[in-house]
Amino acid sequence: MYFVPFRGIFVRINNFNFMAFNGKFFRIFLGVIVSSVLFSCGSGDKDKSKDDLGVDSLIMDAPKGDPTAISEEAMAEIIQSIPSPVEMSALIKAIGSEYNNSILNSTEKISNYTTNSEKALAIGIYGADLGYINIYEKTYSSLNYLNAIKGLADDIKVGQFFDFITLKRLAKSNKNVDSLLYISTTSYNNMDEYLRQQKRSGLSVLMACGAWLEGLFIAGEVVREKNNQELVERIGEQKPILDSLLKILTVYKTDPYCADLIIGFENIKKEYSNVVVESEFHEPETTEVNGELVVVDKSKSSVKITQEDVNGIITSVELVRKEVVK
Amino acid sequence: MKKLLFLFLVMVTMSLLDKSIIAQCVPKKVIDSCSVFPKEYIFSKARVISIESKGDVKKSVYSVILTKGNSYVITVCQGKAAGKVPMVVNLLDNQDRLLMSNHNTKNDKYYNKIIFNCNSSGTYNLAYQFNSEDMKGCGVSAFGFQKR
Repeated sequence: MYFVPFRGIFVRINNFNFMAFNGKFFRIFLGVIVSSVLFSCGSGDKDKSKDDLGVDSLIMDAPKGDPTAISEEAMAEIIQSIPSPVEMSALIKAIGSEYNNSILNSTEKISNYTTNSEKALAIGIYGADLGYINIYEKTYSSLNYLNAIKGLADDIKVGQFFDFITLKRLAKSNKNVDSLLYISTTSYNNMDEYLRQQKRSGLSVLMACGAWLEGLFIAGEVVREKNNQELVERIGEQKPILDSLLKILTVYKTDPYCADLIIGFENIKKEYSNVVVESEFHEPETTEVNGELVVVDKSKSSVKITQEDVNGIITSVELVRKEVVK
Repeated sequence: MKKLLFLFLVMVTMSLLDKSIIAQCVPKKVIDSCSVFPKEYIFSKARVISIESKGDVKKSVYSVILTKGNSYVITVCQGKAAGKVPMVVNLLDNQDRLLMSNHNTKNDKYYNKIIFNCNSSGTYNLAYQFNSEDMKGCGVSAFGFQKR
Protein backbone atom coordinates (compact mmCIF):
# COMPACT_ATOMS: atom_id res chain seq x y z
CA MET A 1 0.00 0.00 0.00
CA TYR A 2 1.42 3.41 -0.98
CA PHE A 3 0.38 6.98 -0.34
CA VAL A 4 0.84 9.49 -3.14
CA PRO A 5 0.57 13.25 -2.51
CA PHE A 6 -2.21 14.89 -4.52
CA ARG A 7 -3.08 18.55 -3.85
CA GLY A 8 -2.38 18.43 -0.18
CA ILE A 9 -4.06 15.07 0.43
CA PHE A 10 -2.72 11.54 0.16
CA VAL A 11 -4.16 9.06 -2.26
CA ARG A 12 -3.86 5.43 -1.27
CA ILE A 13 -2.70 2.97 -3.89
CA ASN A 14 -2.83 -0.74 -3.09
CA ASN A 15 -0.34 -3.37 -4.25
CA PHE A 16 1.56 -1.13 -6.59
CA ASN A 17 4.40 -2.96 -8.29
CA PHE A 18 7.02 -0.45 -9.42
CA MET A 19 9.18 -3.07 -11.08
CA ALA A 20 6.38 -4.30 -13.29
CA PHE A 21 5.50 -0.82 -14.36
CA ASN A 22 6.31 0.13 -17.94
CA GLY A 23 9.44 2.37 -17.93
CA LYS A 24 8.18 5.06 -20.30
CA PHE A 25 4.83 5.22 -18.58
CA PHE A 26 6.57 5.43 -15.22
CA ARG A 27 8.67 8.42 -16.37
CA ILE A 28 5.52 10.25 -17.48
CA PHE A 29 3.84 9.33 -14.22
CA LEU A 30 6.83 10.56 -12.22
CA GLY A 31 6.92 13.79 -14.26
CA VAL A 32 3.30 14.51 -13.53
CA ILE A 33 3.74 13.80 -9.83
CA VAL A 34 6.81 16.09 -9.67
CA SER A 35 4.87 18.79 -11.58
CA SER A 36 1.96 18.39 -9.21
CA VAL A 37 4.24 18.81 -6.19
CA LEU A 38 5.96 21.82 -7.79
CA PHE A 39 2.59 23.42 -8.56
CA SER A 40 1.59 23.10 -4.96
CA CYS A 41 4.88 24.53 -3.65
CA GLY A 42 4.55 27.72 -1.74
CA SER A 43 1.65 26.56 0.36
CA GLY A 44 4.12 26.65 3.20
CA ASP A 45 2.83 23.48 4.80
CA LYS A 46 6.29 22.38 5.87
CA ASP A 47 7.08 25.74 7.42
CA LYS A 48 3.92 26.17 9.39
CA SER A 49 4.46 26.64 13.06
CA LYS A 50 2.20 24.83 15.47
CA ASP A 51 -0.34 27.62 15.91
CA ASP A 52 -0.74 28.06 12.17
CA LEU A 53 -1.42 24.42 11.56
CA GLY A 54 -4.33 24.95 13.88
CA VAL A 55 -5.58 27.91 11.90
CA ASP A 56 -5.18 26.24 8.55
CA SER A 57 -6.57 22.85 9.34
CA LEU A 58 -9.61 24.06 11.22
CA ILE A 59 -11.58 24.98 8.17
CA MET A 60 -11.38 21.44 6.88
CA ASP A 61 -11.90 19.95 10.30
CA ALA A 62 -14.91 22.08 11.26
CA PRO A 63 -17.52 19.63 12.53
CA LYS A 64 -20.63 19.16 10.44
CA GLY A 65 -23.57 21.00 11.87
CA ASP A 66 -21.32 23.51 13.63
CA PRO A 67 -23.31 26.77 13.44
CA THR A 68 -20.11 28.79 13.14
CA ALA A 69 -18.81 26.77 10.17
CA ILE A 70 -19.10 28.61 6.87
CA SER A 71 -17.98 27.51 3.44
CA GLU A 72 -14.71 28.57 1.82
CA GLU A 73 -16.76 30.34 -0.87
CA ALA A 74 -18.75 32.32 1.70
CA MET A 75 -15.54 33.24 3.47
CA ALA A 76 -13.92 34.40 0.20
CA GLU A 77 -17.05 36.37 -0.59
CA ILE A 78 -16.89 38.22 2.73
CA ILE A 79 -13.17 38.97 2.43
CA GLN A 80 -13.51 40.26 -1.12
CA SER A 81 -16.52 42.43 -0.33
CA ILE A 82 -14.67 44.45 2.33
CA PRO A 83 -13.69 47.86 1.01
CA SER A 84 -10.00 48.59 0.55
CA PRO A 85 -8.50 50.60 3.43
CA VAL A 86 -7.23 52.92 0.70
CA GLU A 87 -10.82 54.25 0.41
CA MET A 88 -10.69 55.39 4.04
CA SER A 89 -7.24 56.94 3.50
CA ALA A 90 -8.51 58.80 0.42
CA LEU A 91 -11.28 60.34 2.53
CA ILE A 92 -8.80 61.23 5.29
CA LYS A 93 -6.70 63.12 2.75
CA ALA A 94 -9.79 64.71 1.18
CA ILE A 95 -10.93 66.24 4.48
CA GLY A 96 -7.61 68.07 4.71
CA SER A 97 -5.88 65.97 7.36
CA GLU A 98 -2.09 66.31 7.27
CA TYR A 99 0.04 63.24 6.63
CA ASN A 100 1.10 61.73 9.95
CA ASN A 101 3.78 59.08 9.83
CA SER A 102 3.74 58.60 13.61
CA ILE A 103 0.31 56.92 13.61
CA LEU A 104 1.52 54.12 11.33
CA ASN A 105 2.92 50.83 12.60
CA SER A 106 6.71 51.09 12.58
CA THR A 107 8.48 48.67 10.26
CA GLU A 108 11.11 48.26 12.98
CA LYS A 109 8.65 46.00 14.78
CA ILE A 110 8.79 43.39 12.04
CA SER A 111 11.01 41.04 14.05
CA ASN A 112 8.31 40.90 16.75
CA TYR A 113 6.07 38.93 14.41
CA THR A 114 7.29 35.38 14.63
CA THR A 115 4.36 33.06 13.94
CA ASN A 116 2.58 32.80 10.60
CA SER A 117 -0.61 34.16 12.19
CA GLU A 118 1.19 37.25 13.49
CA LYS A 119 2.87 37.71 10.12
CA ALA A 120 -0.41 37.46 8.19
CA LEU A 121 -2.08 40.02 10.46
CA ALA A 122 0.98 42.29 10.13
CA ILE A 123 0.81 42.06 6.31
CA GLY A 124 -2.75 43.42 6.55
CA ILE A 125 -1.65 46.20 8.93
CA TYR A 126 1.36 47.23 6.83
CA GLY A 127 -0.79 46.94 3.70
CA ALA A 128 -3.24 49.51 5.07
CA ASP A 129 -0.31 51.73 6.10
CA LEU A 130 1.15 51.45 2.62
CA GLY A 131 -2.20 52.53 1.15
CA TYR A 132 -2.20 55.60 3.43
CA ILE A 133 1.40 56.46 2.44
CA ASN A 134 0.64 56.09 -1.27
CA ILE A 135 -2.50 58.22 -1.09
CA TYR A 136 -0.36 61.00 0.37
CA GLU A 137 2.26 60.34 -2.32
CA LYS A 138 5.01 59.88 0.29
CA THR A 139 6.70 57.32 -1.88
CA TYR A 140 10.03 57.64 -0.06
CA SER A 141 8.34 56.12 3.04
CA SER A 142 6.69 53.38 1.03
CA LEU A 143 9.99 51.57 0.44
CA ASN A 144 10.30 50.55 4.10
CA TYR A 145 6.73 49.27 4.10
CA LEU A 146 7.22 47.43 0.83
CA ASN A 147 10.31 45.78 2.32
CA ALA A 148 8.39 44.80 5.44
CA ILE A 149 5.48 43.32 3.47
CA LYS A 150 7.78 41.49 1.10
CA GLY A 151 9.70 39.95 4.04
CA LEU A 152 6.55 38.82 5.80
CA ALA A 153 5.02 37.56 2.55
CA ASP A 154 8.14 35.51 1.82
CA ASP A 155 7.96 34.03 5.31
CA ILE A 156 4.42 32.77 4.73
CA LYS A 157 5.33 31.64 1.19
CA VAL A 158 3.30 34.17 -0.78
CA GLY A 159 6.17 36.53 -1.62
CA GLN A 160 6.14 35.31 -5.23
CA PHE A 161 2.98 37.37 -5.82
CA PHE A 162 4.71 40.54 -4.74
CA ASP A 163 6.31 42.30 -7.70
CA PHE A 164 8.91 43.89 -5.46
CA ILE A 165 11.36 44.96 -8.19
CA THR A 166 8.70 46.95 -10.08
CA LEU A 167 7.25 48.37 -6.87
CA LYS A 168 10.68 49.47 -5.67
CA ARG A 169 11.33 51.17 -9.01
CA LEU A 170 7.96 52.93 -8.93
CA ALA A 171 8.48 54.05 -5.34
CA LYS A 172 11.51 56.11 -6.39
CA SER A 173 9.30 58.79 -7.87
CA ASN A 174 6.02 60.27 -6.66
CA LYS A 175 4.92 60.55 -10.29
CA ASN A 176 4.12 56.83 -10.32
CA VAL A 177 1.60 56.76 -7.48
CA ASP A 178 -1.24 55.34 -9.60
CA SER A 179 0.95 52.47 -10.85
CA LEU A 180 2.29 51.94 -7.33
CA LEU A 181 -1.24 51.69 -5.97
CA TYR A 182 -2.30 49.38 -8.79
CA ILE A 183 0.61 46.94 -8.45
CA SER A 184 0.60 46.92 -4.64
CA THR A 185 -3.20 46.34 -4.61
CA THR A 186 -3.03 43.54 -7.18
CA SER A 187 -0.07 41.95 -5.35
CA TYR A 188 -2.05 42.02 -2.12
CA ASN A 189 -5.18 40.62 -3.83
CA ASN A 190 -3.14 37.86 -5.49
CA MET A 191 -1.53 36.83 -2.18
CA ASP A 192 -4.96 36.72 -0.58
CA GLU A 193 -6.47 34.67 -3.42
CA TYR A 194 -3.56 32.23 -3.45
CA LEU A 195 -3.86 31.62 0.30
CA ARG A 196 -7.52 30.75 -0.13
CA GLN A 197 -6.81 28.50 -3.13
CA GLN A 198 -4.21 26.69 -1.03
CA LYS A 199 -6.78 26.13 1.75
CA ARG A 200 -4.85 28.52 3.98
CA SER A 201 -7.87 30.76 4.42
CA GLY A 202 -7.05 31.33 8.08
CA LEU A 203 -4.10 33.50 7.03
CA SER A 204 -6.22 35.28 4.44
CA VAL A 205 -8.81 36.08 7.16
CA LEU A 206 -6.05 37.47 9.40
CA MET A 207 -4.72 39.66 6.57
CA ALA A 208 -8.23 41.08 6.06
CA CYS A 209 -8.62 41.65 9.81
CA GLY A 210 -5.26 43.43 10.01
CA ALA A 211 -6.04 45.72 7.08
CA TRP A 212 -9.48 46.57 8.44
CA LEU A 213 -8.22 47.20 11.98
CA GLU A 214 -5.42 49.50 10.79
CA GLY A 215 -7.77 51.43 8.47
CA LEU A 216 -10.16 52.00 11.35
CA PHE A 217 -7.29 52.86 13.71
CA ILE A 218 -5.95 55.53 11.33
CA ALA A 219 -9.45 56.97 10.88
CA GLY A 220 -9.92 57.03 14.66
CA GLU A 221 -6.65 58.86 15.25
CA VAL A 222 -7.61 61.45 12.64
CA VAL A 223 -11.05 61.89 14.25
CA ARG A 224 -9.37 62.46 17.64
CA GLU A 225 -7.47 65.32 16.05
CA LYS A 226 -10.05 66.60 13.58
CA ASN A 227 -13.65 65.75 14.45
CA ASN A 228 -14.92 65.46 10.88
CA GLN A 229 -18.56 64.36 10.57
CA GLU A 230 -18.08 62.42 7.33
CA LEU A 231 -15.22 60.45 8.83
CA VAL A 232 -17.27 59.78 11.97
CA GLU A 233 -20.04 58.37 9.72
CA ARG A 234 -17.50 56.12 7.96
CA ILE A 235 -16.42 54.81 11.35
CA GLY A 236 -20.07 54.10 12.21
CA GLU A 237 -20.56 52.29 8.89
CA GLN A 238 -17.89 49.76 9.89
CA LYS A 239 -20.46 48.04 12.14
CA PRO A 240 -21.70 45.46 9.58
CA ILE A 241 -18.12 44.90 8.34
CA LEU A 242 -17.03 44.09 11.89
CA ASP A 243 -19.92 41.61 12.13
CA SER A 244 -18.75 39.93 8.91
CA LEU A 245 -15.14 39.75 10.10
CA LEU A 246 -16.23 38.22 13.39
CA LYS A 247 -18.26 35.65 11.46
CA ILE A 248 -15.23 34.43 9.50
CA LEU A 249 -12.85 34.78 12.43
CA THR A 250 -15.12 32.60 14.57
CA VAL A 251 -14.41 29.68 12.22
CA TYR A 252 -10.94 29.65 13.81
CA LYS A 253 -12.08 30.19 17.38
CA THR A 254 -10.19 27.16 18.70
CA ASP A 255 -6.89 28.65 17.55
CA PRO A 256 -5.42 30.61 20.52
CA TYR A 257 -4.26 33.58 18.41
CA CYS A 258 -7.64 33.93 16.69
CA ALA A 259 -9.46 33.42 20.00
CA ASP A 260 -7.62 36.45 21.45
CA LEU A 261 -8.39 38.50 18.37
CA ILE A 262 -12.07 37.51 18.62
CA ILE A 263 -12.14 38.80 22.22
CA GLY A 264 -10.64 42.09 21.05
CA PHE A 265 -13.08 42.41 18.13
CA GLU A 266 -16.00 41.53 20.44
CA ASN A 267 -14.92 44.41 22.69
CA ILE A 268 -15.01 46.75 19.69
CA LYS A 269 -18.44 45.34 18.79
CA LYS A 270 -19.79 46.23 22.24
CA GLU A 271 -18.90 49.86 21.56
CA TYR A 272 -20.91 49.65 18.33
CA SER A 273 -24.06 48.38 20.05
CA ASN A 274 -25.87 51.76 19.95
CA VAL A 275 -24.78 52.64 16.42
CA VAL A 276 -27.59 52.43 13.85
CA VAL A 277 -27.04 52.41 10.08
CA GLU A 278 -30.24 53.16 8.11
CA SER A 279 -31.01 53.40 4.42
CA GLU A 280 -33.91 54.53 2.25
CA PHE A 281 -34.35 53.37 -1.34
CA HIS A 282 -35.04 55.69 -4.28
CA GLU A 283 -34.79 54.87 -7.99
CA PRO A 284 -31.40 55.83 -9.43
CA GLU A 285 -30.98 58.16 -12.41
CA THR A 286 -29.04 56.94 -15.42
CA THR A 287 -27.49 59.16 -18.09
CA GLU A 288 -24.91 58.78 -20.83
CA VAL A 289 -21.99 61.21 -20.58
CA ASN A 290 -19.35 61.19 -23.34
CA GLY A 291 -20.24 57.61 -24.24
CA GLU A 292 -20.01 56.41 -20.64
CA LEU A 293 -22.91 55.27 -18.54
CA VAL A 294 -23.26 57.37 -15.39
CA VAL A 295 -25.63 56.22 -12.67
CA VAL A 296 -26.54 58.59 -9.87
CA ASP A 297 -27.76 56.81 -6.77
CA LYS A 298 -30.77 58.58 -5.29
CA SER A 299 -31.05 56.33 -2.23
CA LYS A 300 -29.98 57.69 1.13
CA SER A 301 -28.21 56.22 4.10
CA SER A 302 -27.51 57.68 7.50
CA VAL A 303 -25.63 56.70 10.64
CA LYS A 304 -26.85 57.36 14.17
CA ILE A 305 -23.76 57.63 16.33
CA THR A 306 -23.05 59.72 19.42
CA GLN A 307 -19.75 61.27 20.48
CA GLU A 308 -19.66 58.75 23.31
CA ASP A 309 -19.99 55.89 20.82
CA VAL A 310 -17.18 57.35 18.72
CA ASN A 311 -14.86 57.71 21.71
CA GLY A 312 -15.65 54.18 22.88
CA ILE A 313 -15.01 52.70 19.44
CA ILE A 314 -11.72 54.55 18.96
CA THR A 315 -10.46 53.55 22.43
CA SER A 316 -11.36 49.89 21.94
CA VAL A 317 -9.68 49.87 18.50
CA GLU A 318 -6.55 51.43 20.00
CA LEU A 319 -6.44 48.71 22.67
CA VAL A 320 -6.75 45.84 20.20
CA ARG A 321 -4.26 47.42 17.82
CA LYS A 322 -1.75 48.02 20.64
CA GLU A 323 -2.05 44.36 21.60
CA VAL A 324 -1.47 43.01 18.09
CA VAL A 325 1.30 45.31 16.87
CA LYS A 326 3.28 44.78 20.10
CA MET B 1 -3.98 -1.70 -11.40
CA LYS B 2 -2.66 0.01 -14.55
CA LYS B 3 -6.17 1.22 -15.27
CA LEU B 4 -6.40 2.73 -11.82
CA LEU B 5 -3.07 4.49 -12.25
CA PHE B 6 -4.02 5.69 -15.72
CA LEU B 7 -7.22 7.15 -14.31
CA PHE B 8 -5.22 8.86 -11.58
CA LEU B 9 -2.78 10.22 -14.16
CA VAL B 10 -5.63 11.60 -16.28
CA MET B 11 -7.18 13.24 -13.22
CA VAL B 12 -3.93 14.98 -12.29
CA THR B 13 -3.28 16.10 -15.88
CA MET B 14 -6.83 17.41 -16.30
CA SER B 15 -6.62 19.35 -13.08
CA LEU B 16 -3.42 21.04 -14.30
CA LEU B 17 -4.89 21.66 -17.76
CA ASP B 18 -7.99 23.18 -16.16
CA LYS B 19 -5.81 25.81 -14.45
CA SER B 20 -4.03 26.75 -17.66
CA ILE B 21 -7.30 27.02 -19.60
CA ILE B 22 -8.63 29.53 -17.05
CA ALA B 23 -5.36 31.46 -17.28
CA GLN B 24 -5.67 31.57 -21.08
CA CYS B 25 -9.28 32.67 -20.84
CA VAL B 26 -8.18 36.08 -19.62
CA PRO B 27 -4.53 36.90 -20.27
CA LYS B 28 -2.81 39.18 -17.77
CA LYS B 29 -2.57 41.99 -20.33
CA VAL B 30 -6.39 41.97 -20.66
CA ILE B 31 -6.73 42.20 -16.86
CA ASP B 32 -4.21 45.07 -16.81
CA SER B 33 -5.83 46.98 -19.67
CA CYS B 34 -9.27 46.49 -18.13
CA SER B 35 -7.92 48.02 -14.92
CA VAL B 36 -6.83 51.25 -16.58
CA PHE B 37 -9.21 53.85 -15.29
CA PRO B 38 -9.61 57.56 -15.89
CA LYS B 39 -6.83 59.43 -14.02
CA GLU B 40 -9.09 60.44 -11.12
CA TYR B 41 -9.94 56.84 -10.21
CA ILE B 42 -7.97 54.44 -8.02
CA PHE B 43 -7.92 50.72 -8.77
CA SER B 44 -9.43 48.50 -6.10
CA LYS B 45 -10.16 45.00 -7.45
CA ALA B 46 -10.27 42.95 -10.65
CA ARG B 47 -12.16 39.71 -11.06
CA VAL B 48 -11.98 37.07 -13.73
CA ILE B 49 -15.49 35.92 -14.59
CA SER B 50 -15.70 32.47 -16.08
CA ILE B 51 -19.04 30.79 -16.65
CA GLU B 52 -19.03 27.28 -18.02
CA SER B 53 -21.93 25.33 -19.41
CA LYS B 54 -21.76 22.81 -16.58
CA GLY B 55 -24.69 22.83 -14.17
CA ASP B 56 -27.38 25.45 -13.80
CA VAL B 57 -25.10 28.31 -12.78
CA LYS B 58 -25.48 30.91 -15.49
CA LYS B 59 -24.22 33.95 -13.66
CA SER B 60 -21.57 34.95 -11.14
CA VAL B 61 -22.61 37.16 -8.26
CA TYR B 62 -20.22 39.03 -5.98
CA SER B 63 -20.97 41.21 -2.99
CA VAL B 64 -19.29 44.55 -2.64
CA ILE B 65 -19.56 47.16 0.08
CA LEU B 66 -19.92 50.65 -1.37
CA THR B 67 -19.61 53.90 0.51
CA LYS B 68 -21.82 56.95 0.36
CA GLY B 69 -20.14 59.96 -1.23
CA ASN B 70 -17.80 57.83 -3.36
CA SER B 71 -17.92 57.56 -7.12
CA TYR B 72 -17.08 54.09 -8.43
CA VAL B 73 -16.00 52.92 -11.85
CA ILE B 74 -16.76 49.42 -13.09
CA THR B 75 -15.15 48.17 -16.30
CA VAL B 76 -16.04 45.05 -18.26
CA CYS B 77 -13.70 43.36 -20.77
CA GLN B 78 -14.05 40.20 -22.82
CA GLY B 79 -11.75 37.25 -22.30
CA LYS B 80 -9.88 35.60 -25.16
CA ALA B 81 -12.09 32.53 -25.27
CA ALA B 82 -15.29 34.54 -25.12
CA GLY B 83 -14.75 36.15 -28.51
CA LYS B 84 -17.47 38.68 -29.14
CA VAL B 85 -19.92 37.32 -26.59
CA PRO B 86 -20.88 40.37 -24.53
CA MET B 87 -20.54 40.23 -20.78
CA VAL B 88 -23.29 41.91 -18.84
CA VAL B 89 -22.85 43.35 -15.38
CA ASN B 90 -25.82 44.30 -13.26
CA LEU B 91 -25.54 46.19 -10.00
CA LEU B 92 -28.22 45.30 -7.46
CA ASP B 93 -28.84 46.57 -3.97
CA ASN B 94 -29.16 44.29 -0.94
CA GLN B 95 -32.86 43.81 -1.71
CA ASP B 96 -31.96 42.60 -5.23
CA ARG B 97 -33.32 45.75 -6.88
CA LEU B 98 -31.58 46.47 -10.18
CA LEU B 99 -29.73 49.78 -9.96
CA MET B 100 -27.80 49.70 -13.20
CA SER B 101 -26.69 47.50 -16.08
CA ASN B 102 -24.03 47.94 -18.73
CA HIS B 103 -26.58 46.60 -21.23
CA ASN B 104 -29.20 49.05 -22.43
CA THR B 105 -31.96 46.74 -23.59
CA LYS B 106 -33.80 49.58 -25.35
CA ASN B 107 -31.12 50.10 -27.98
CA ASP B 108 -29.14 46.88 -27.28
CA LYS B 109 -26.04 48.91 -26.46
CA TYR B 110 -23.28 47.54 -24.21
CA TYR B 111 -21.06 49.83 -22.19
CA ASN B 112 -17.64 48.67 -21.08
CA LYS B 113 -17.35 51.37 -18.44
CA ILE B 114 -19.93 52.50 -15.90
CA ILE B 115 -19.72 55.19 -13.27
CA PHE B 116 -21.82 54.74 -10.13
CA ASN B 117 -22.16 57.73 -7.82
CA CYS B 118 -23.04 56.08 -4.53
CA ASN B 119 -25.29 57.88 -2.07
CA SER B 120 -26.14 55.04 0.28
CA SER B 121 -23.49 53.00 2.10
CA GLY B 122 -24.10 49.28 2.24
CA THR B 123 -23.74 45.90 0.58
CA TYR B 124 -24.43 45.67 -3.13
CA ASN B 125 -24.25 42.77 -5.56
CA LEU B 126 -22.46 42.69 -8.88
CA ALA B 127 -24.06 40.01 -11.07
CA TYR B 128 -22.24 38.95 -14.24
CA GLN B 129 -23.65 36.92 -17.12
CA PHE B 130 -23.05 36.37 -20.84
CA ASN B 131 -25.59 37.16 -23.51
CA SER B 132 -24.86 34.19 -25.68
CA GLU B 133 -27.15 31.30 -26.48
CA ASP B 134 -25.51 28.92 -24.03
CA MET B 135 -24.73 31.78 -21.63
CA LYS B 136 -21.11 30.71 -21.25
CA GLY B 137 -18.08 32.88 -21.58
CA CYS B 138 -15.27 34.52 -19.80
CA GLY B 139 -14.11 38.02 -19.13
CA VAL B 140 -12.74 40.38 -16.57
CA SER B 141 -14.28 43.16 -14.57
CA ALA B 142 -12.35 45.77 -12.62
CA PHE B 143 -13.54 48.12 -9.98
CA GLY B 144 -12.19 51.37 -8.56
CA PHE B 145 -13.16 54.54 -6.74
CA GLN B 146 -12.63 58.20 -7.40
CA LYS B 147 -9.99 60.29 -5.63
CA ARG B 148 -11.55 63.30 -3.99
